[in-house]
Formats: sequence, structure tokens, C-alpha cells
Amino acid sequence: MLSHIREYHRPKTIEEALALLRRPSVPTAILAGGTQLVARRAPGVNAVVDLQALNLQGIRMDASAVHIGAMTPIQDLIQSEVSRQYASGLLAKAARHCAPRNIRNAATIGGTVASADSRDELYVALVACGATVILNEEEGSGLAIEALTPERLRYDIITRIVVPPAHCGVLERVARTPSDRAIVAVAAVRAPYAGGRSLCRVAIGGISPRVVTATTVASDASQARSELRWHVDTPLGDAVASAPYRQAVTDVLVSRAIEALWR
Amino acid sequence: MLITIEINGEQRTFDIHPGMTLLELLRSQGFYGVKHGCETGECGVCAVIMDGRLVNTCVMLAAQADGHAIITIEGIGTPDHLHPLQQAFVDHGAIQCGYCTPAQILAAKALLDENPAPTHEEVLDALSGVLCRCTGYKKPVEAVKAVIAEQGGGRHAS
Repeated sequence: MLSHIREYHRPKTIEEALALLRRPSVPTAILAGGTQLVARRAPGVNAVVDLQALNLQGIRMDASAVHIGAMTPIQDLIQSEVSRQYASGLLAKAARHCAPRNIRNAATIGGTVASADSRDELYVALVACGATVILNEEEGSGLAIEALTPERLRYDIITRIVVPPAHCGVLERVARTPSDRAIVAVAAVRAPYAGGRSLCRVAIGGISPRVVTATTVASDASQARSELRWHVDTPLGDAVASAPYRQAVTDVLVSRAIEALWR
Repeated sequence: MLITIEINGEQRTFDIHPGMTLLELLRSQGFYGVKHGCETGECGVCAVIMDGRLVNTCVMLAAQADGHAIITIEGIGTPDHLHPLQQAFVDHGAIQCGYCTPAQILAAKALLDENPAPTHEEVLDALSGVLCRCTGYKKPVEAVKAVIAEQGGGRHAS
């Protein structure tokens, strides 16, 4: 029993949800799937705002981007034809690795973005894709997902994730077992650019508390590999794998990813 | 607060504390097939089928289930007339301590209700959220695949 949660709300409009969230006197949290908030016992929270009635589910593609409703379960990314076709199925592949089936059925893509977990391969893949978030369904509020801060999320609601076009995408990873969480995961995307070249964007998870990114414009894999640079402020090392191991593996995975993008 | 959930085909209304988890609610109502495991969503023994999908009840507030339909292990088969999946688990020796068995069977049911002819990998993925320390998973997977084969990969009776 989470006895400190004294209020449960299921608003029908975003305005209603925001009004509840922004009350200064009641510590209130967004409740999406609940797989993180409830699992962590919702510390310091006295009220929850369940977003399930706001019609924020669904995946669609238009000429400019793929739009994913923030309350879309992660499992839907695996089953959706749109996400399976986008960037060589990068998002669907990353989603399959981020959690077992039970959790994927309830956890949402909005929750994934809000948690900003650099070990979450779906989050890493979204960063590589250059995804942005729409807050409160306000067009023009688009913000790179890496730029989201806990302070911003305290008073705003992620309503949609927007993923720009890409030629292809790839996910390279190393883990203790094929179904285990990755020790290091590299997601890379090749997107259209001018002059017959491609924008190559790489996101690396598992080597630092925050996802590390690197971007270059190149004509081929060789040029991309030679020009891509990344920097790790705080190398991550733990009982699973040391920092030097993660760094060494990263070099190999990035090289493989770039090769695969141009294959 | 009052919530209404369809449990095993029956509409039920409960007066709950907002912070009550779905696991706590179901077990307080006598659905002991929904097992208490880790309380963090890691082990899966608390799983039920909600609106056709397997979910962990320990990381879901009961209030989230308001207006939804849930199936627990008590809702499929009876001691005298086992569900084909339950019978297959018995026949294939897929039950040892039995603690994870309800969730494994529900995981398989959710899979086969959605996809009567899954691949080997899809069966493994469907069962991936329910940890088992006893069987090594081989026999539960065999049991599920036996049901798939028996039903010809076609639509099977719920």
C-alpha cells in the first residue's frame, strides 16, 4: 500500500491535468504506465494524475515525421507497422530490448523519455533519431528529448514524441546475454542531407550517466568513422563492467554501426 | 474512492485507498493465484491479463484498472475441466513449485489469444516477463508449443 498517495485523478483534458499538476500545495506526479513510479513507491508524492483518458496513444506517420503519442505502450512500437518500417526498424528493435513483455505492455514511451535512462536502449535510439517532445500538445513547444529536465517535467506533460525522417538505423549492443540489458548500446541513424551526403547521428548508452552523442556529415562510412568524435564527461563503471571495458567496447560498436549504416 | 473492474467476466465495484496496488486489491478479494513476488515489476508472478495484455499488478495502482477487464488464473479452467494450457503444463511436467505457473499460463494465453501461431521466439518473448527458478523454462515452453501444435496454429478455445 502506497499510503502516502491520498489522491488519484484521471482527467479528461490536458488543461485539467495541468491544473492538478501545478497545484503548489500538493506534491503531484504524472502516472503513465506506473511501472517506474509505483515500482519506486512514488517517493514524496501525495497525488497522482493518470493520463490514460487523454487520448495520447497511437503511432502515425506523415510527410515530415513519425508521431508517437506519449501514452503509447512500448509494446506497440514493436507491433506497429509504422515503427517497424522507420529507420530499418530501429525503434522496434530497441523497444524489444528495453524490458520484458509484461513491462512493455504497460510502460509508455512518454515514461521512457521522462526517465532519461542512458541504459535504456529505446531512449538511446530516440536520441540517435533526433526525437523531440511536444509538451502539453502545444505546437512549437518541441524540445530535444536530451534537453528535458526534471524541473520542466514537474509542471508540464509530455504529450507526443516526434521523430524526424531517416534513411536507415542500426542498433549495436553488448550484453551478458542476448535478452539482458545492454552494458553498452550504440544507436546510429543516417538521415538525408544536402549535396549527396548523409547526416550520421550516433547515440551511445551505458558509458556515462547521460547518453553521449556524436554527429557528422559524410559521404561514406570511412569518412563518417574518421570524423565522428565523442566525449565522455563521467565514465561509467560498475560491478557489471568497468569504465575501460565500456570505452573499448564503444569504439568497436560505433565502428560496426557506421559500417552497417552504409551497407 | 470507488472503482469498477471486470474480473473474470464479472463486474465488481470496490471502495479502495488511492495508493492500493492492483496486486493488493486482487489478493484481498481472494484471487490468490495472483502471487506476491518482488513488488518492483521484476519477477512477473503477479501478472494478470488486462484488456488482452499481460501486466504486472504490483506496479499498477488498483485505480488504474478502473473501467478495464482483467483475467486471473481463477478465470480460466476449473479443477475438473482444465484449460488446454493448464493441462499441457501438467502433462509436460512444466510445474515444480508452482509459484510462477499462474503467470506463465496467463502469459501463454495472452499470446495465443492475440496470435494463435506464434514463432519459437515469440513464445519465448511472451514468457520472458515471468521468472522461474525451478524449471529452466524448457518444459513450460514445450507445453505452450504443444498446445499450439494441438490447435493446428488455428483459433483456440478460450
